[in-house]
Amino acid sequence: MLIKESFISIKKNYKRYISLILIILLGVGFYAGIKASSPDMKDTLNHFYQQHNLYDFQLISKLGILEEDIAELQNAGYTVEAIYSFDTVIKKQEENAVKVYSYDKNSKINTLTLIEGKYPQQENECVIEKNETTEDFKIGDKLTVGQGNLNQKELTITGFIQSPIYISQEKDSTNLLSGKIDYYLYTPKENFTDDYYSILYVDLDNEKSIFSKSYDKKIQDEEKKLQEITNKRNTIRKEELLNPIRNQQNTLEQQYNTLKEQYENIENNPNISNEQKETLATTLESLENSKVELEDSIQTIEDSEWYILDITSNIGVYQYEQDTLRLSNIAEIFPLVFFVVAILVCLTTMTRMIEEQRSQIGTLKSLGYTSFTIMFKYIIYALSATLIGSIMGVTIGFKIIPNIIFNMYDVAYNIPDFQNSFQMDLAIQGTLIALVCTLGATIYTSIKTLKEVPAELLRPKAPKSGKRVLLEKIPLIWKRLHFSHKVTIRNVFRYKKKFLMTIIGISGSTALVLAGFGLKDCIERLVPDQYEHVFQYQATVTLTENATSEQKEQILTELENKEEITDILRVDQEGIQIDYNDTTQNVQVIIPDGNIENFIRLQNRESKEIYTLTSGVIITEKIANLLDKQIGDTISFEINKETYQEKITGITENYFNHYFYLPQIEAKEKDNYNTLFLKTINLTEKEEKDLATILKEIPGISSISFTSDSKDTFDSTMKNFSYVALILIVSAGLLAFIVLYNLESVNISERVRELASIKVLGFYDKEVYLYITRETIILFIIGIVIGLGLGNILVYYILKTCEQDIMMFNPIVAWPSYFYTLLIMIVFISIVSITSYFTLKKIDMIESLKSVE
Amino acid sequence: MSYIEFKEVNKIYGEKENKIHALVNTSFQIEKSELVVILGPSGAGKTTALNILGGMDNATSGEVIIDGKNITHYSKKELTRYRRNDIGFVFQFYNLIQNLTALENVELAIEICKDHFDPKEILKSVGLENRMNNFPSQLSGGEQQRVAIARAIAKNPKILLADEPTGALDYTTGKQILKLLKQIQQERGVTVIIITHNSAIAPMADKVIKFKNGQAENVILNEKPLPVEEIEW
Repeated sequence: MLIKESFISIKKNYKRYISLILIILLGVGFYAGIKASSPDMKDTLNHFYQQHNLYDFQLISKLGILEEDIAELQNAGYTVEAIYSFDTVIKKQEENAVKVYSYDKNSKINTLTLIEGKYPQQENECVIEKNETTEDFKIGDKLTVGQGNLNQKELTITGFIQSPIYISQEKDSTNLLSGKIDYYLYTPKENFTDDYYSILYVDLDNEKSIFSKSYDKKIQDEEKKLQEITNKRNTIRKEELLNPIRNQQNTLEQQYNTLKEQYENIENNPNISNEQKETLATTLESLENSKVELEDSIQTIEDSEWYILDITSNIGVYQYEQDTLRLSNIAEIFPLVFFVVAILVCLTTMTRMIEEQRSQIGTLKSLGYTSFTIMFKYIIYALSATLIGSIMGVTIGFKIIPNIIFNMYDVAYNIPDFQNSFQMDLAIQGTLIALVCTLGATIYTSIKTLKEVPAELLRPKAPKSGKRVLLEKIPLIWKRLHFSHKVTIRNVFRYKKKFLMTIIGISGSTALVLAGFGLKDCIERLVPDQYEHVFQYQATVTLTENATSEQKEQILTELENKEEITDILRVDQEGIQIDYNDTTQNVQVIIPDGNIENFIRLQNRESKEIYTLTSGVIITEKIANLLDKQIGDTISFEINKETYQEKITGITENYFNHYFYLPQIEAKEKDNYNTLFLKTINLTEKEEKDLATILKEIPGISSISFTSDSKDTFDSTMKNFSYVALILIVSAGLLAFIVLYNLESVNISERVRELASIKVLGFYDKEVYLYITRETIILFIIGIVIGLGLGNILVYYILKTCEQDIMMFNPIVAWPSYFYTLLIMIVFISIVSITSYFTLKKIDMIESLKSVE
Repeated sequence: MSYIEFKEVNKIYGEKENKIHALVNTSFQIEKSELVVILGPSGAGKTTALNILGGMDNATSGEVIIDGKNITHYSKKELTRYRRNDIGFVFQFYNLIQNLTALENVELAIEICKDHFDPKEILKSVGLENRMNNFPSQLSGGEQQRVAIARAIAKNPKILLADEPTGALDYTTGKQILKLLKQIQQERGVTVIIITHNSAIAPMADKVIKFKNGQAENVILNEKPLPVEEIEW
């Protein structure tokens, strides 16, 4: 009987039931979907990592890797593989910087994926990466490798592959050409003539997740062990290399000393011709040079050590991890707000439903039904709606949202096989929150109603008495209002609960929509803000460490002669480290020799005060925030082991990386610079590359990089993120719509009697519509204004949790976003309003004759 | 021709098997400025007749002529205009807007019609000059019904329709309300139609129309209607 009764009430209130399901569906679905995205993406990488048996450590030694090193590690129980590798230039249509790897068909670590063709069999064959650069390359094409130790330098392409080492488009930097690797290729191991290997990969035993804490711990432990082994090997290796050199050095020393003695003996001897003396002097000089050279190489060997890099320092994996991190940060706040709004609406709906059925409850109660039996119906109603909504929500949410997000990220990554799983814990979590809220509201309202005695229930609920509003106490305004506006204002403020719910609903969904747009704004703004607004130069030339004064002079002259280059700033740039909490922040200290104002905008973001670099230090905003420093504070740091104590004279706008700007120190030599900032005329990508190639040739130049490169890399990762923002906008829009619809229909159903009465009084349909709509519009405007404010705060909050230490978002929402948000909300409110027109039209005037229910 | 003519009116709700024949070939007339009581048990069709008279519903067939105008086939909009200008309505449960004061409730009604009385004057005439700025919840049932009557007559309607106006009131208060209605009919010359199941009210009317099984079964003319003070139930 009870169950049947429940079904009847569902059938009778099916519209409300459906909208309840829809709201729960959206709330739970969005919550679960967004929350599942980050774990799903991690699973995908883990799956990929296992499928391709990706390395856990990458070991590199400057002295090269020998069979003995491999044996030592294998003895210690490690699974290792060593490969040959070098960077080179290959000219096909144009010159490209290429990374060459050795291919071993028995390789077990970092297994390749064959996209097209077959793996190389012969020494003169290779497989290459498929990407934008190699788009036009065909199987059978020949590539001629420039510098590099290969037997066969002319290689025939047999196929296209993808290496798991590179999961993103991003590849290592190189000293060649423009400084970026364009593609990689694999040619059989046998083709290499090197004496030692370049890279050694270590694969630990099967690990489930590289994102887990246990993996972090394992990596730390293993790194220590590897450090020990490689240190030991390094010492032995150094000795091996140094012994013959030391012998050589000794011999040389003896030769030099003997010769020097001879020279000193004959120097003042007039019998010996000047020619002979000169010959001897030249020999002596060359010996001296060799001596210096030997000392240098000894130094290099002594300094050399092993680098142990774990998988998280792989550029693609690192980026991927950062992306999942950002995503999970978003998933912390956004869905929660979403949820709160949805639940609030459910609460209003359930409360309304029970209040509508007062007299029915009273009848049942007077017939002797227990409170629980009566409540049961409503519980079933709410429970079934919540369960249906939740189940549909998690099913759809888990399927759709992570897939959309992954597909958006997939543009930047080469990871196939998205692992889309049903995450029970999240499903249960979301459903439980929804259940607690809807059932809580249902039980609370039922109990409140059921407490009344049946007789009371059968009587109409004492209508909420009218009240004057604050505004009426200001006759100046109140008197001027049109009568119908007075009515509207009083009605708006009459039901405080409904007023609050509506405001929360509208402002909440407005805030979510605005936050979506705002996030998109802030993300997309970062790149142009940093690379156009703050950095106004186009290229950075890094000089080699030992560039001589003459070379520097030469470089400057050559650069000045280039037509493309319009301005040059000499800069001494030093990387330093600043401790902050448990981490160290890398900071670039920039000491310009010249007018920095034309190259970098030194200006406070908020006060817009422009700084001139005369004394003290100007630091960038994010590092100032991290260290909690204000203008006027003193900051101490170390450059090349020299300690500086400087007063902060400015905090300047900056969005990416940290910089300290120091004025030129008088005492320093004039040519202390190691970096040149260049301003160029507008160049295409091709022209930039050509310029880079030419400049690379000048002795003393180590590398040249264009800000457009950094811009591109950054742009692509940020783009992924702004797609996520788009999802937020769409779902927030949907929520806004359902919320508005629900609130409007509750509002009408609550006041059917009042509306029927004014219809009987002879109000035209349009007038009845306006009577209600005027109120809606006022609530809407209040809600929107609050919502826009809230949205701003939400954007600020989300960005602050998302941004990493080295970046800063400018959390300002652009004007068009306010406009779009407003537009979306107006469209939704209009649709809802139009549907309400028809609902109002259908209200039967007979309702006014019925007794109050 | 009479002021109000109900000719062979039928009203059928629903379709096919679920048809309800609420009014069956009903005819009656009401003259201008009469006080009429429509009497009958529930389900007799009196409320349906009220709906049609009040312009809330159309008759299925037959003719309804009010002051020479045939409203039988009025469109929804025409019916609204008719209610707006010609009809004053008094409900059993007053149906005041809770959020408006007594005065504002009257103002709300006259907002939409041109030829209306001064709301304050009207409230004074129903004896509420001191309660004008009170909200309905601050008024007694009788007072609320007075406001409702004031709201109905402020529009200067041709016909005042009262649906069980004493239904929710106690004896004394009910009588006062009936007295007020009679007074309005006499002083203002408004046609007043009271719909009720309480036959004790009948003697105060000029004309009593008795409904039974969807028909105006019996029309009685009272040559000498009793003053309200003398009727009892």
